[in-house]
Amino acid sequence: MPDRPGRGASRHRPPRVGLIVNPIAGLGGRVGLNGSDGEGTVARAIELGARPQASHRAAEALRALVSAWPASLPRPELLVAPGPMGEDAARETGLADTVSVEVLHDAIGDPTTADDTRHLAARLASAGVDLLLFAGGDGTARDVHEGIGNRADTQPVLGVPAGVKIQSAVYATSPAVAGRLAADWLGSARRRAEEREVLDLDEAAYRRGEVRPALHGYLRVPAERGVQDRKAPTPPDDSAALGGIAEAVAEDMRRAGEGVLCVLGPGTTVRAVAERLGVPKTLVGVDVVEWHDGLTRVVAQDAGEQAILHALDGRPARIFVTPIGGQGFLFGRGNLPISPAVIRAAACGRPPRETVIVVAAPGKLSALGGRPLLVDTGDPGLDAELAGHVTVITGYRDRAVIRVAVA
Amino acid sequence: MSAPDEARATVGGSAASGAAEPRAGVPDAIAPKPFPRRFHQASWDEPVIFELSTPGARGVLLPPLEPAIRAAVGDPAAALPAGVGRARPPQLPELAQLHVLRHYDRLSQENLGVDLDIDVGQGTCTMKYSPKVNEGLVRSHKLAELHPLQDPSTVQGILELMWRLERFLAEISGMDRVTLQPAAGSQAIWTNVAMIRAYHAARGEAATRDEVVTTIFSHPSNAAAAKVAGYRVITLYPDPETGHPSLDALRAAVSERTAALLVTNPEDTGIFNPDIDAFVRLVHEAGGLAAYDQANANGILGITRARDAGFDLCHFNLHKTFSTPHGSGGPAAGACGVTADLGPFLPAPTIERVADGTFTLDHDRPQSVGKMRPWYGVAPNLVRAYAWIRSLGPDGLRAVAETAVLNNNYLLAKVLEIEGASAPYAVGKRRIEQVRYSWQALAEATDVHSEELGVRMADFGTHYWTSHHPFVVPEPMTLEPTESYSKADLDEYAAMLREVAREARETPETVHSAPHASTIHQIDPSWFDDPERWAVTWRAYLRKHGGRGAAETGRAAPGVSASHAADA
Repeated sequence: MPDRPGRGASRHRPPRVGLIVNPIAGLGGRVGLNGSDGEGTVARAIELGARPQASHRAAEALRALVSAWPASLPRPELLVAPGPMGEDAARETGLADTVSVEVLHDAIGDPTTADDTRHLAARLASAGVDLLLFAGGDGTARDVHEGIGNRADTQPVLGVPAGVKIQSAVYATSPAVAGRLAADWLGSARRRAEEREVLDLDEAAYRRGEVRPALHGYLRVPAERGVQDRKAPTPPDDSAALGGIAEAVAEDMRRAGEGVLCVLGPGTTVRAVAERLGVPKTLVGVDVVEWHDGLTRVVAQDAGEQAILHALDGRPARIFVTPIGGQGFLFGRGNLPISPAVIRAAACGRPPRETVIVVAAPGKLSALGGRPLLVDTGDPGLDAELAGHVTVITGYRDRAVIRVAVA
Repeated sequence: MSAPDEARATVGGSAASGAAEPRAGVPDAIAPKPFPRRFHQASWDEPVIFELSTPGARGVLLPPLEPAIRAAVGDPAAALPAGVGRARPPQLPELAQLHVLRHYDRLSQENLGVDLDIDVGQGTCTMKYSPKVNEGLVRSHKLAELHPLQDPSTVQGILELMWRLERFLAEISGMDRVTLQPAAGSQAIWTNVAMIRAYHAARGEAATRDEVVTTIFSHPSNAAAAKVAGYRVITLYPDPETGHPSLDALRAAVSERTAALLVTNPEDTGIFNPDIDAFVRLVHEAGGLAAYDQANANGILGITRARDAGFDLCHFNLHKTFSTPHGSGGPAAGACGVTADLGPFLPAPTIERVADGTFTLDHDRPQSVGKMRPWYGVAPNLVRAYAWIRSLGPDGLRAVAETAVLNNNYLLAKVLEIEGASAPYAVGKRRIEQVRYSWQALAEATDVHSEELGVRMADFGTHYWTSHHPFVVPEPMTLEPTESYSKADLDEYAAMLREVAREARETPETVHSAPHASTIHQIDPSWFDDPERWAVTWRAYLRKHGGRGAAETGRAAPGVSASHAADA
């Protein structure tokens, strides 16, 4: 989805920063419980001696935000959730004299719940904050995403890492970085935000040793600020590459002629392709569409494995996927409905690699740092067949050859 | 009186007296300079030259035409061809000579460059010393007064010089023919791509060979030029161990659709791909051509040649390897070398030596890709490159490469001693002429990023460049020392890097808020993303901002003081 520039920093209006803390985030990790979701886990963690840290980490981020704030701009105003969900962190900073703090007085549970996070995220977003900071882990990101609902398309947010599991790409690397990034972004002339993945494991499965995170949605976070550079004054924006990728796929479709079935995996890159082909696309689901005579028709939306197999009905298909998460997984993370059976069915006897079309902006490939893309379909034989070198569509008439390895 | 002045007076005194014994109470040597050196860049708040304009001001007042001359020749303007006249005068700024000189002197003080600082930080650009003796050749009236429209019979000297320079570059690259027509490196790559396209078209394969293969650490102009020519571009990524793409990766990219491989070697990492001849063979077997980007040949001069690895085409940036001033907006110079098979496709005209030993421009080349630019080559830079090559000779050219490689590996060892610095890929192996370093470990430990370190270097009177975007090496820094810098220079540069890295660990805010001693403080780079906020010409600025900038700052046009303005 193309970037939507936000309002830039104003020399007159102080920016409003929302804060929501999941006070129990991180509790489970300290005592080896692999996360804090699920009934009884919190009580068990506290029994084992866990002490809440999330509020302290949120306070650290706020201090960093204020200390990095440009002197030339009016100081930000804080709008915080009550008690342990934000108010305590704001008080801990000792910044009450320098920064205006407004507290929402909504009732919250003791201990607090995911519903509290969802409700307060909705309240803060509707109150009109320029940036919503939230401290927690993957579960918290998921609750914030659900809480702000439709506003997720427009409300910039930023995660302060405080949870056990951080797979989602919406968190800064540390509380201090979150604060500094927030200050830089709020103070910049043109606030660019981009959609990043909210991933979460099923913690019950995770405690059994299964790492299979699902993609729950996308949140808009401050785009990493470009830097002035003599050779490249404008850092290429991956959102521009998405348009090129979509155009390249559309061109291939036109060349392929009639009756091309496509399985579209989740993610913003694949969604950009779908938009160019003129079909709606579920952001986190797997859809099946058919390109026919210049038009694209939806065959199945947000489909599970069986629904996809039914839609293919023994015909060959192209499977469009983009690497999910920072680890570069093509299969096995966030797109489980594209199962080994689906890949084999789409290949129709051809080598499975020929049926898979990988799309990714160059920035995403560079971020791999030389590591290969990974496959973990659950079928070791299929994984071995998918391994090797794959051609990735990275832009209009732009491709890259990247190694694929078995996870 | 400051300490340096006292020290200077003392030294002068001892030299005059010739006394070996220091006098009581008087220092016996120049006081040691602090290290790192205390630097502060000039900062003039200099307006844009258009803002300095005073209506009616002139640099030169020409005497009026004498009546006798006018009577004899009539109106001189009438003798000009109609096409060169303009209805309205150009809207140039109007200034006196002094104000023009002062303006540009001030700007030059707000600059860095190879003649001013230890400029090893502009990696891949090959910032080397350009001998000043060559400037005398270029400014000589024998060159300066030549005109490209002169008949070739009247410019035999420059044609012979260019022809000989072409032969030198053919010998250096192993190629059969060379053209000096391109104005710069990117245009030279474009010329090669145009010849590749013409070659395949002549064989009836223009439509089917529509792909070009390159590597992520090759100069981005390769991918860009191929794109402009209509090719699909396939980019190879490096093997994490070796730092260069594997033959398997190339095999996955090459097919009957491959028009060419465009590759830099050593790449921007300074890593030389030792399988390069196998790469070329693989592409040839598929019917494609191979073009060697030797924009920067500083590490391989006299050591290896493009043709010896099987390449069909290559190019040089004369402003890199061959010591002519850098372009970046000014004049550069490019050269392309090709095998005899590709000779017919060279841009027209070519310089030919005919039977009687004279030189001509050959425009009759039916298979040529045409002209790359209106005139043949950037003559002053070709003279500089020719003089540089002649002054060194074959052994000297090889010594340039050997020294550059030695300098680079010395600097590599010094940088790797700094906590938090690394040189990703091919760990423990030597590099050729440059290195793309990474500050990832330092950034993770301190939250100070490579761009910030590079900016902080400006407070020590130098800088460094990170990398092209997007960053493939995280937190990158690209250094290329060339042969021009001494061991003391490299020690000083490494010490500055070490100091900045120490600050990142101990006083990170100093680095975050840098520069402190440079011409301007930080700017908001996000402005570059918004076309409404920037302008590359004065006219565009006026269009976008209506000239409000000058009014807001209350800046009067210099030369028009308040009282003058009131008088007017």
